[in-house]
Amino acid sequence: MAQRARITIPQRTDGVGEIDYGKPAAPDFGPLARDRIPVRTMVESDLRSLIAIDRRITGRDRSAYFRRKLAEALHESDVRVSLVAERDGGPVGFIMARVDLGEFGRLEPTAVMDTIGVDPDYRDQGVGRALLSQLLINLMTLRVEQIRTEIDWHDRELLAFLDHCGFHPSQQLCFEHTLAAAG
Amino acid sequence: MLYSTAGMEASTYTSAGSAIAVRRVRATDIPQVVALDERVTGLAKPDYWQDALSRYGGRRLHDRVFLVAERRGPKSNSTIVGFIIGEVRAWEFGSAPCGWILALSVEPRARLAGVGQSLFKAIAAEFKEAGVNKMRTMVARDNRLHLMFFRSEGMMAGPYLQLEKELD
Repeated sequence: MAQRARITIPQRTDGVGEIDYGKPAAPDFGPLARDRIPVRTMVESDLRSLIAIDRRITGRDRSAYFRRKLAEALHESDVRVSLVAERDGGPVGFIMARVDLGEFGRLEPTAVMDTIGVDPDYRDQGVGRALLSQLLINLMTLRVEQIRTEIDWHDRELLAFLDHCGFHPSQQLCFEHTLAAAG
Repeated sequence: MLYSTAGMEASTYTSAGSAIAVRRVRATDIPQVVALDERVTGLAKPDYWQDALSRYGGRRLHDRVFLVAERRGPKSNSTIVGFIIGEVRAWEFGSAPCGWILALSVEPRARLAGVGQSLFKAIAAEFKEAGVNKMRTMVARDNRLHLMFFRSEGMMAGPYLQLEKELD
């Protein structure tokens, strides 16, 4: 009778596996970035900076979009949680979210993050992490239990960033229809 | 295609012998919307629907759409047999302007009579009127009813991923 192959589990090679209680706690993606980069609530006078940063990122003038979003953030009744990160005395990044009462058939209070941007000159300095981690802390104080966002799957840089920050795919599928062909 | 556009009164079409009109929601429709939603989901959410009325039926009507399908009875009484809610989102999530369907429901006893299709076509026309050429929605992967409906209306898998994170 042929002998069955057995799976071999590799031996640990870097010391004992006991818990080292003296070891510093592993940081989540946020605290260090939050400590280094001031993040504050967005205000009306940030509009010009947001438009300028966005223009540098996207190469588009999306003033109308940002005017509308800021008006929503500051004047509409929904709970919005929008923040700005500052370096060198001015805004260098922003994040915009709202607390949603439910859409696409979901009912639980969920935060929807729909806009994030970091000045290209300040990339890879933890600005995005500082913004997102402060946003999550603010949402937790509002007793929001979940945050979600939707991204183009071609946007690998943002996808990698959000993956690193602990986001994972939801159980929702995106469907699309081209209206021009609908007749 | 017969439907009502922003600010218009209802157009009508006939399906299975009964007159169905699709039109913009009115405040007086909300009790029927709440009741319909309760029959479908088992949960009464009056505050939620009042908020939806205020958000999608009261402000920025050029890019927010809350439509109801109304069945007209013989004695000028009418019943709401379905509704659909959507919004043109421009640049949220980095996407070019696009219409998003956020909610769709049809009275169970009125299904398979073209109500959902009429609502779908009406909101598509609203989105086209608003100047967008794409329409998207998100459907839970275990919601077979909505999956089948949207697929049967020609919707295909879209390029967006929904990501989420628990906050605890």
